[in-house]
Amino acid sequence: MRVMLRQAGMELRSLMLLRWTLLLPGAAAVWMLLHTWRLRPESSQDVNLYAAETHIMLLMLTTAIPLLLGVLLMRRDLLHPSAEWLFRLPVSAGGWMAAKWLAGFAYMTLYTAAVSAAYAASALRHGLPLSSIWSQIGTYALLYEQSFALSLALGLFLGVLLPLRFSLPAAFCAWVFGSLFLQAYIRPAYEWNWLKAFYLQPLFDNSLFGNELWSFELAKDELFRGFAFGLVFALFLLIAGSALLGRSKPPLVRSRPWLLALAAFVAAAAAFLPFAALQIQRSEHQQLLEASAAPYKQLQDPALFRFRLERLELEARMLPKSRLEAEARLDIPTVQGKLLSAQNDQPLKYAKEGTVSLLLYPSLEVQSVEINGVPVHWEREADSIRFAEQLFDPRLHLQRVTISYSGVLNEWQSGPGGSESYLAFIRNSAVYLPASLGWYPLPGGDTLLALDEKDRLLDRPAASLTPETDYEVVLSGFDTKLFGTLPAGEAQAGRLKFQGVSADGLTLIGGRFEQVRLAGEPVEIITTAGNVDEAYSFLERFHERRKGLEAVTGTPLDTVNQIFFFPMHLIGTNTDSATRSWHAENNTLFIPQTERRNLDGYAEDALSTLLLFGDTGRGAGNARKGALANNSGQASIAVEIRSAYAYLYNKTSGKDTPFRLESKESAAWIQMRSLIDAAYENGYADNLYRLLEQFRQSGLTLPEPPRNEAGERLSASSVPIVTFEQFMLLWSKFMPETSLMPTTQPKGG
Amino acid sequence: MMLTAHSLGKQYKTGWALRPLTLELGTGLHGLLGPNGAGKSTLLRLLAGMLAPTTGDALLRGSSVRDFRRNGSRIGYLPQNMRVLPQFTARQWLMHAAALQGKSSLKERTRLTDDVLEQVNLRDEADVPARSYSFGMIKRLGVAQALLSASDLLIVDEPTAGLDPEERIRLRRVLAEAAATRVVLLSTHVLGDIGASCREVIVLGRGRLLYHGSTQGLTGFAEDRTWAWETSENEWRHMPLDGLLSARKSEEGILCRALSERSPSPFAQLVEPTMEEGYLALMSRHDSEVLL
Repeated sequence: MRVMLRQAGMELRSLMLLRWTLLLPGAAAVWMLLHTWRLRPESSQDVNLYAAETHIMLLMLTTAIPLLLGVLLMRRDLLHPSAEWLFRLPVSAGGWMAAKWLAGFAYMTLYTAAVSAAYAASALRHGLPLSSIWSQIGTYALLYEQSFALSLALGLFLGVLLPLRFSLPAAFCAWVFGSLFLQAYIRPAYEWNWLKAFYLQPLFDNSLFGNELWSFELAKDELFRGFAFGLVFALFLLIAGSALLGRSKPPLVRSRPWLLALAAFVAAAAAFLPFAALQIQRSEHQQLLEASAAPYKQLQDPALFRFRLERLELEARMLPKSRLEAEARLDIPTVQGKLLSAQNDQPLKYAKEGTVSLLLYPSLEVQSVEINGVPVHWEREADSIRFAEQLFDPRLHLQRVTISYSGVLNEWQSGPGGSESYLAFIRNSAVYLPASLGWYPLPGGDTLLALDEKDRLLDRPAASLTPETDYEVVLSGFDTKLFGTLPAGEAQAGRLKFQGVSADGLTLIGGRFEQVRLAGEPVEIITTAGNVDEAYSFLERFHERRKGLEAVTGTPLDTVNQIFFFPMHLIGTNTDSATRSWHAENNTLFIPQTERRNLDGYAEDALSTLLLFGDTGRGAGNARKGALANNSGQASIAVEIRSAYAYLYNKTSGKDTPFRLESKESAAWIQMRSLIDAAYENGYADNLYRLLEQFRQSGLTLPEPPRNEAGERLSASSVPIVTFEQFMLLWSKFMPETSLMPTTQPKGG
Repeated sequence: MMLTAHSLGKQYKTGWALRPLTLELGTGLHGLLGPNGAGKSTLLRLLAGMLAPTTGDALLRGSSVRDFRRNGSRIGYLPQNMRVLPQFTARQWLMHAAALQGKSSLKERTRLTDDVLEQVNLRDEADVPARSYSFGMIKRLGVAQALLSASDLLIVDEPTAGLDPEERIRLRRVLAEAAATRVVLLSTHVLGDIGASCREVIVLGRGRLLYHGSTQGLTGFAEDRTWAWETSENEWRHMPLDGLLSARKSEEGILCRALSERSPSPFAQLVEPTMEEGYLALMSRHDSEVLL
């Protein structure tokens, strides 16, 4: 050992004495600085997001270095024809391999250190807290070191195995395959997830990375199994390399190094088993989920199956190993023991005649069902729990159904192109439980999951899951901070309560999120440490806008008091998933952060629109295309009226970054704008505000476009139809002067 | 005996590189001679434990030269061609070699390094990176590291090739000094190096051991076969060249020496042979035996 360490020291010294070797880690650090030091003001200001992307490229490129270095360490001296005298130094074959690996690894650690230092400098410049910086450095340093350890061992092995003219091209090919080709082409094309164990670096093909709080937590199970295999495999490569070195330094017993290599190979094969077991388990679980999902052609409108739910009391406990244990108590209103449709204007559709169907996520196992305190027989099939409707007491209006259930929620899934994400998870420091996934029993509905035309799994959005239901959810056993889409009470004795009346249910997120608040501003932002500054400046800007908008509406705009803003690409099913775009649930606006989707003017507009009209404005495009019309074919000017708010706000505020108008230069909008201008200039601004408020109060919400193929489409009746004629009727009522009346009526919308 | 080889042989797919031979070498300087392709380098590498034998084994103080645990730091080896990493100085290399030998104290390592640097006359260039060394200096550095590494057995392959006469003489002296306590095996094509310093000599030919014994014994192969005579230039031009060893112009004609069973000239007289003539006599006898 002493001799090996001395030789390793000498090898490292020889590397350090080559001038170019010290320049390369510096170059990697400069790369990191270039991408993180100065951020474009119009893009996200989250330095961790840029650092994550830079790490992907850097690690992909730098794995070439240990591979080539490994070859050179072997071939430039030890196995050079003129350097055979080195074999007479008192260093064993294994000692040579170990010494060269140690020296190369120590040298490669300079890259990790240089890149980490560059990141830390940028992060400190952007004011990130030390805890966030350390956590990021720790995560990525681990990935770098593991990749370097394996790549270097492979390089050394190739160096021993092949002459220089072959080993260098072989090492280059190994880099291309192990760092790029397997990730970019082979695994996504064939969905051979077991191939990930043979990646030289795990970042290039890891769609889970990019969220500083959740990524590592979600990826670590697979990463650690991959690391264990990678390290044992690296050990095998080193031992096999030592055995090959026996050609130049023959051992006393020739078979001994080969037996050791064989043992190491067996150990590597054994270390692969846990990794393979995880992949098999995931694959089987995904098949289970797909079996419970509705095929594309059989998708039905979930609203038809929903029955009324008066109240839901839920007590949920987190247990070790991602296990959830819960008891749900549902108060279901009935008339003579019959369910009532959640949509008052439509009769209830039964999934199976005479049975009550509730949806509960298929991974959750039901232990018991009681109706009004009496245990009953129930059936569990895929994601539904069914029992006979006749078990209800016809004398009672409210039937109390109590369901006890438990299960593991660690819902990995693979989407198009092999992209990975989680539908739901509970870990010690990361929690995501979306309301629409049915982590508590949902009344009726079609299915929780669907399949698209290519039989890919899709989640189904959370629109109006439980109209007007009173929720009381008590959570315990969770080790991390939890945030929900329902108002939270004070945590007491480790129990946290969420309570409120809601249609969208309760989505929970958990982790070391930051709460960014501004005095006097009711909206708070739940985000990652990297976004705190941007979130704060957003709140400052929005506070001004809120005051302006409230002046126009004359009422407080307080329907939203929370924004979830962090990278969400790792949750949900695919790129069109509900989780990947702006959406609102109860009092919460979800903004899935990307480099370009940040807390900019568009986010201000989305929040403004949500506060004013109850949607995020994503349906305006569809509305403009003439989707909105009344029975007699007259175009709706709902979009123009909504735009009038933005127009008026811009007019009064005189801000540089105006509230973007949803309306284009249509005839109706040109006419309306001239009316607004005239009224405003004649001192009738207040009349104008009151006029617009009439329309706003009667509903100007635009339906959100379907979020994915399984998305619930709002029926035509939910679209606000306001014709220009109706607008002018009210106009004449609110405007005292006839000179403010238009002379002609615009054609078209 | 410190170094013994029993039936030591090496066979490749193409045939025997070294047919099984048995040797016993004690402390002292031993020369190894043989034409190109005779198996000298194979024998040296087998004895240095850098090649696995096909038959037999070589033992140093009773344990195999490939027994790393026992003999890892007892054998020094200097191959024919030597390369060192150019960024290191001679001192850095030698200090490292001393450290690997288990010399833990810096003082001792420094003393040993200074000693060998002095012995190979590299002290003045000891702190200059090897990239600026000449071929001869690298060779001397190689000898120095082999000396440092060899407590029992020192194997040197063509150490004097490329050295100027002064350095050659110095190196012979160094090897002779080293041989006082070790087995030193010197392979060379320069018979003068062996004649000047070796007590015993090993001769290989076509992968076989042809001779192992004293230098006088080798000379003896040319006994009664070495002829000398003086002849005129005209006669010399028409003379057959078989067995002719040398022809040197004298005042009266040309002085010739030849190896032959019979007198090559009526004027030829048997003379005292040299070791080189003994070696040539041995090789020619071996060649004719092989041809027969």
